[in-house]
Amino acid sequence: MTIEVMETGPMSSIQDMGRRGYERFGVPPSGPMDEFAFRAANALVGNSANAAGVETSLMPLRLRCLQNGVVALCGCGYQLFLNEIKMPSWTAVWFKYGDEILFQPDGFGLAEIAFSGGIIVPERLGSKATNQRARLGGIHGNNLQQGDVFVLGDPAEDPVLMSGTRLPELTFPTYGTEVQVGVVWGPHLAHFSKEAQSILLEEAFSIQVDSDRMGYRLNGKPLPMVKPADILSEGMVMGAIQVPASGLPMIMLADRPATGGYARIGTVIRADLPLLVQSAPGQGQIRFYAVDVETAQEKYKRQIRDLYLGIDRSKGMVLANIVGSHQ
Amino acid sequence: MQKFKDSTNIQPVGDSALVIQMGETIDLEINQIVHALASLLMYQPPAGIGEAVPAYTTVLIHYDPLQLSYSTVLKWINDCMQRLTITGSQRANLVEIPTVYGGEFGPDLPTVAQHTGFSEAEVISRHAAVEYPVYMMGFTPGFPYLGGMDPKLATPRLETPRKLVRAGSVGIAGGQTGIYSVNSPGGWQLIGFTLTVLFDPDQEQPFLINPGDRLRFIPVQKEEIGL
Repeated sequence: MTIEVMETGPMSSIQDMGRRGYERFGVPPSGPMDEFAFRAANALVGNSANAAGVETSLMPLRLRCLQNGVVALCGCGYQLFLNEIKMPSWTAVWFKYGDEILFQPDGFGLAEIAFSGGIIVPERLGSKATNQRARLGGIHGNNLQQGDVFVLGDPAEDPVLMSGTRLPELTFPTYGTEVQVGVVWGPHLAHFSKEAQSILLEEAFSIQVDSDRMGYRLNGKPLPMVKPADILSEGMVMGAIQVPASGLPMIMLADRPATGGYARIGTVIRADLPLLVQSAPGQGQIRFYAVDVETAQEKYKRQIRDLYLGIDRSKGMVLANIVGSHQ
Repeated sequence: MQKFKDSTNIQPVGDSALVIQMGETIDLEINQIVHALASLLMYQPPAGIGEAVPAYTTVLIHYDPLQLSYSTVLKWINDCMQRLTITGSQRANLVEIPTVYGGEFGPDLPTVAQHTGFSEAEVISRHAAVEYPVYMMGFTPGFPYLGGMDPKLATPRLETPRKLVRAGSVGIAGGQTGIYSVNSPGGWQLIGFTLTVLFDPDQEQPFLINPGDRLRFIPVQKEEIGL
């Protein structure tokens, strides 16, 4: 009941929805960069939202299947090949013993990949999410390496019945190279001039190429500050827009530290984080818009509801076709 | 107590957290209230409330917006703040750290002695004399931010950080003192070493120290702890 890693780059890691409850001890949550794609992948293969899957970026990931099951590739910048035949993304794809699966980069992006039954590795501090610095989660606390073998759990349903379930593009966030990303202001607005807020809303920013899972550094017009950037350290959130003395924002992401000591002008809203993380370093253009908490929450709830409704509807259609073909 | 409640500021931090700020400087009294509030919030919170992360003057609450709206969380927090009391007899948990000072276990003790003008024995006794409040944790898993070091012991960091400092190393950096909780590079002046484990993810209690605890270094001879 295993999958073997034939080939991988350094950025493939086992993730679940994150390690919660230990941030006050300095343990960051880890977890997926693209929450929407991660949820979609798990739902397409019949898993619960917190089942462990694989996130990868930049390089090919090639696997050999030593069992049957379904796999779903969600996210951007990757194509799925089953025994060298191209298969659709955002779709549950059936594989059998002996098959080879290749996730091939196609432009920039992050892939969130789920297998029916989820990946079984020991939980450390209550989560399977990989945190290499703290040696937690994944396979012995490390990202995937060639030769690794991981075990899948029992699928919730017969993989054959799930095969072909897909999420229509209508439901996706509007991924692209030019994206609009919502911001809730604060909590350290007093450190910034009013002009800083205008600049953030009116200018376009690009992502520096040395960005990674810890955070995306932005290039663009610096944000003027009226008080020094240093603050007393306090708890950190995903999407926090930290501004050091240089005035160039850095958006804190999945591998952010649990606490931080730089002033933050705002936080990227959860519904738009997938757009940000999938925007290509060096090429992407980010524009920010301001939004209040209530609107941000409504957008996120609607997005997640539409995601699960879309998959349910597709499952219903798949089952109807299977049943119908017997009459 | 009431003056703190009156000067408290609550703000959203994006759509999945909010922060309660109780002050703007490193202040032991404010920090004690921060920890009392964090404990109260974590006692039987409603479904959808995540973790309360205490820091110097703030408590950050993570929550799930699929289950709770911002206004519902705000109301719950205000209710908790009404119920918050600090009794004078509240004593934080004291953690004792048996520490071997100097020699091979404190390679920078001579540097600190020279910089401060004290003898090595005087540095040790001043360092071990204090009950240090653990203001917060972070930076690495299990790392305590300690307050209250004798300012006369302050010594600048190493010009060239070490590539590897062992977990358990006790050091001074500027006006701060602390203990490395994991192996990492570091620029602190190392004055002692403890075998006490601060972070072990496989234990029932993975963390020895909790934010809000108090900590004391107990000078021991290396033979006493099997070194």
